[in-house]
Amino acid sequence: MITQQQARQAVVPVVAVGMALLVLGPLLGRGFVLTYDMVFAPRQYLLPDSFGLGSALPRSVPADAVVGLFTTVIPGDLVQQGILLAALIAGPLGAAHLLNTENTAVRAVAAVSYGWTAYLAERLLIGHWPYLLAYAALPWIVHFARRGNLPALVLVLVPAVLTPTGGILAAGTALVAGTKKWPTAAIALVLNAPWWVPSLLHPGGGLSDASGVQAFGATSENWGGPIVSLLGLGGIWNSEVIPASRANPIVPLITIATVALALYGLRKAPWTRGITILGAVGVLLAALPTIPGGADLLSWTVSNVPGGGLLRDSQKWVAWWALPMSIGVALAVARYRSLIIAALILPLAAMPDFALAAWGRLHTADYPDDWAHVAEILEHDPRPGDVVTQPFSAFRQFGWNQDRTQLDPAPRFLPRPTVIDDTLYVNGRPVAGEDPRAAKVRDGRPLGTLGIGWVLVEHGTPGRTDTDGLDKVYSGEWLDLYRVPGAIAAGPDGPPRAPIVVADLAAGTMIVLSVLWLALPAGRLTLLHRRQRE
Amino acid sequence: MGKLVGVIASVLVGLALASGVTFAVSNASAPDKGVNLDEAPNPNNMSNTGSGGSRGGDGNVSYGSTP
Repeated sequence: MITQQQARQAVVPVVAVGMALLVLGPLLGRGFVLTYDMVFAPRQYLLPDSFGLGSALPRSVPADAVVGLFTTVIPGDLVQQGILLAALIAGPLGAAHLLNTENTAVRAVAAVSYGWTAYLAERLLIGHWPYLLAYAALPWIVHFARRGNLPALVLVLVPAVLTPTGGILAAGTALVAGTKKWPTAAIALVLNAPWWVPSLLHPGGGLSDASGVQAFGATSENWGGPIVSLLGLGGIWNSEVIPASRANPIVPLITIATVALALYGLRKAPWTRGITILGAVGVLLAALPTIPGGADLLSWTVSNVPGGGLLRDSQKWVAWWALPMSIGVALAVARYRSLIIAALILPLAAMPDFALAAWGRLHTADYPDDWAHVAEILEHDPRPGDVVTQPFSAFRQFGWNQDRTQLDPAPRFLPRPTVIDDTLYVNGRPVAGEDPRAAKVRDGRPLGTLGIGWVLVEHGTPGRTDTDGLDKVYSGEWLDLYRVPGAIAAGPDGPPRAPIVVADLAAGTMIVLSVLWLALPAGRLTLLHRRQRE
Repeated sequence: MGKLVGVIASVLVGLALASGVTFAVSNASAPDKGVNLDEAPNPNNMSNTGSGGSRGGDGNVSYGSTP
């Protein structure tokens, strides 16, 4: 028999799970969601690039290593679905958990406000799953940072620090919300070391093409302009991933009303001051390319400061704004109870096309068998050399994935380091990449001298191919594999290994010690003692 | 004050319900309206245009587009 209290406690989890299923339901089952930057493979191999030891900038480090570890025991499509579900459920639960109220409806408002946003929709459509995880972790980071529970803080930071952007979002939140600033800073530094150490040591120097500032700057989704789009947690640079409902003329009015309501709610909650200021900083950073002088400042930073390229895709920083918005709205409706129903309905009514796999824009696909055959050849063939893919470009539109734009899956599918062109094309204009080996391939240098022994030709996607002088090893409907004749040199030296291994070990040790502290009697007794004091 | 806020909220919810679904449905009913059939890129297994010199650059898939 379920008691009334149990039923009340179940409301927020049911709301969170319900929203996640409403979005991801059509995608559950077998098959991969391959959209823009989101590429999962049945089994992702642990390669030097997974740890930032390759020639490419470590943008997906240590995410690739973590996915590689998971896919050694769980099929990649199930790993992908687990990650997406966890991200969409944990965020709303965390936002509701932050509220110090027994009122279930008010907590549900926080959950819906945080779990049904343009940020989630746009970042899901562009395939930035690590950002979704970071977004989901933010309320939990605030919760444990405020309490000064450092071992638990370490564990909730882990899903967020899988990429540089997620790591910065998480570190900023922990520092602002934390009561123990220096230990929190030390934790953030160590947990983020697996990406910042290889980034600093990258042979390319970590500088990026400044033209990306204009290409990846925040945009306007409607008549409200870019600032209002950002305040409404939208405004991503790529118009192809913006839900159609964001162009609705009423959206700016809803945004302005919601921001006003949230600021009213935040007024009487001093503990939210830090995260509100951080949210405002996030909006300011996101809006920088759109305000006078901002684009010049960003361009200089991107091309002169190592790692400054992180600022190019500016809209991602409004993740910091999402938490004060949802908490503020919930605190406001706690005062004006008549608004509870409206606050629960409005996010879904304003953006219904986030539901049902973004209104059918996402779907699952299976890799053609050619991919497994090629991976098997490359795994067992003793001849040396890394792989380069053709067409020599970053993105694909395969017929077997309904011609949807997706990142080349080869680096994550194949058991050898794979070079792809990291030049990105936006509106047909190139934004230069940072991989020095890719630049040499593009310039037509002999592949063997670059340590490349194999050429994978991917069919059914736009772009030209050139296989003159190569020996065909495998031929299939979707893939051909060629051997580069002649001597194959050793691959280029990536960053030095020792500091990166130390960084990985330090982060891993911190995580293991935190788990042990929380699991073993000493830590549990300390927590119990603390709770009793509270 | 409370009544005014309630009225504004009701109006916004009503408008959002009506127009939000309309926008979403109109997009779903014409999902390919952005596709340029006149200048569609050729898949490479239909037009292999290999040549020497530099690699990449021609007819590559775009990462995205800005408004």
